[in-house]
Amino acid sequence: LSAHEKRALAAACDWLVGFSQATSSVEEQVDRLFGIWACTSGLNCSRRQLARFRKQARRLPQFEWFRFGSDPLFVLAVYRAMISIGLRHASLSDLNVGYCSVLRDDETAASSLGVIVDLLRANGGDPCWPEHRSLCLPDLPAFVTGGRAEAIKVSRDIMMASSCGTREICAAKVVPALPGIAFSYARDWDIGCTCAVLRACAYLGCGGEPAARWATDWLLDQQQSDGRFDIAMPPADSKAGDSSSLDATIDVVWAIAELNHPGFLLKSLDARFPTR
Amino acid sequence: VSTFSSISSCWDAGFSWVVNHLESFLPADLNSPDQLKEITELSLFYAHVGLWIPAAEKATLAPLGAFLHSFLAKNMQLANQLRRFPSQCNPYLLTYLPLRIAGFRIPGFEEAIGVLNRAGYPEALETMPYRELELQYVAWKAGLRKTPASWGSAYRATVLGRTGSPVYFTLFDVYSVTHTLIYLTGFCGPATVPTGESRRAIAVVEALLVHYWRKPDWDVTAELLINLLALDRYDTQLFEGAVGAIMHAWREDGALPGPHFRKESEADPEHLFRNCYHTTLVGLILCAGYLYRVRLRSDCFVSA
Repeated sequence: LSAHEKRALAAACDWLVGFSQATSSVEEQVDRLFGIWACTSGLNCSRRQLARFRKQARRLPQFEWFRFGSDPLFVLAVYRAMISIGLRHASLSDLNVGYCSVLRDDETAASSLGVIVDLLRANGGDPCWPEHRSLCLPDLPAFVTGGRAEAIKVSRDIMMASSCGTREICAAKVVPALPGIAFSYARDWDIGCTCAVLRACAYLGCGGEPAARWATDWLLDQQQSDGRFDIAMPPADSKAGDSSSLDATIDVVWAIAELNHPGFLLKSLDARFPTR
Repeated sequence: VSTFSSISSCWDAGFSWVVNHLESFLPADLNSPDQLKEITELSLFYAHVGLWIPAAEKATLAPLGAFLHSFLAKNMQLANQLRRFPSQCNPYLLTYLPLRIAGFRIPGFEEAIGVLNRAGYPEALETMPYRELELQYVAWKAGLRKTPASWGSAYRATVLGRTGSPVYFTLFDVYSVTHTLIYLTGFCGPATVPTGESRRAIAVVEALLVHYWRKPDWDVTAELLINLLALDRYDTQLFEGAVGAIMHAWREDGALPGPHFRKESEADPEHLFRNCYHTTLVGLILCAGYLYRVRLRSDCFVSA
């Protein structure tokens, strides 16, 4: 983690901690906690950062798990983080059980949701455990010319199949272009797509390639003085006000954390920082 | 094998297209240096491709040589313009010097070059660093300079020699990168490139290649692929994939569409020529360069 990245994560964490909860939905609060956890992990889980995360996590209200309408990855990762620091949360526990029951008999769905299945298990659940993980990647030309949606889908498929880089997968067809695609979307001023592809680079071990480093440096250039990342937003993703800043800021801190600690969502604190 | 044969087919089709459009390369106003762009590019193309194609196939270039020589020898107005306006010498020199590379001499231009040299041109011009490299390279190839352009001060003054991250490069900066490499490596190499500069150049060029292939912009993509040829980086999936995409985009009539070409205007010959001639010439240089490098490599294998 470079000094610049450390400063950027610390400032982003300050902004996320100060983000108004009064008007936030449960989903937004979970997303925000996920961002704070990414900053905490990116900053090597210092005692101060952990204390901040703990304080924020304790404020997460109870909710009806089946009404939760956001990315299951974020909420399961937040639950995983809370468990790893000794916090319990009844709604998150119910949600883990509920998602396990949904996936228990659906091997097809489970085989394409590798990291979700791993998080459910890491959180004490018992989802279906598929023998094989499905991963169908396009060939190199189709990937390069497939457009933004394809780049994001491929990156997410890589994340799912590799469980955030904690399992080996064969992605040789797209690896030669992956850092260049991250770089290319940075040139197009597209934070969301750049982050998604950079995370895929981190999972496949090519996050240190020059093109990926240039894309990462560009991300850091998008930070405002208050810590949020939102100078560049793609037209398709533009929303009004702080919500768009929240999405972009979470995207960036997650990417930076993965580039430095691939798979931090799944690894236990002790495994990642044995000397703590 | 498939890349080689598809490149050979595109070369044949593209070269025929150029030969069939020679008249369109001529400037409407000989007194305007701005109108020499097309004929200058044709001349540069003719001279350099002539250095790479096998002796047995050189006769195919003869119509181009005859056309260019006839145009320059007939219109002495151009040589006179060169003498009258030394500060605007670049387009005139870059049209004539490639013919000199191919072995032609036109007395009026030779005299004009003598006048320019005595007056201290082209050294007196303040030129963009990569344009300076271009003139140094062409003058060297044409026998007017003893040494080639080097990885020295002129290179260090270019965008590639000065900057770190290419993420903010404008299209103009990218042209500077491709042209800097083209003139330091003799278009498609083989060239001796300092290791550190080679590694950095490959990283910059490959990142930009993905970007311009994605857009797509076949003009810049082809120039970047020429750079990779020269940097000996053409046995990669990325190179093969991008070359394949260019060959796929090549039109059946032999033209390679430029970034501003509109399919709905293809029936307009003026639109077709203006928006395809440059990209077609660059694509043909890529084809000729690739075939040359592959032949060179197989000759090495045979002699080994």
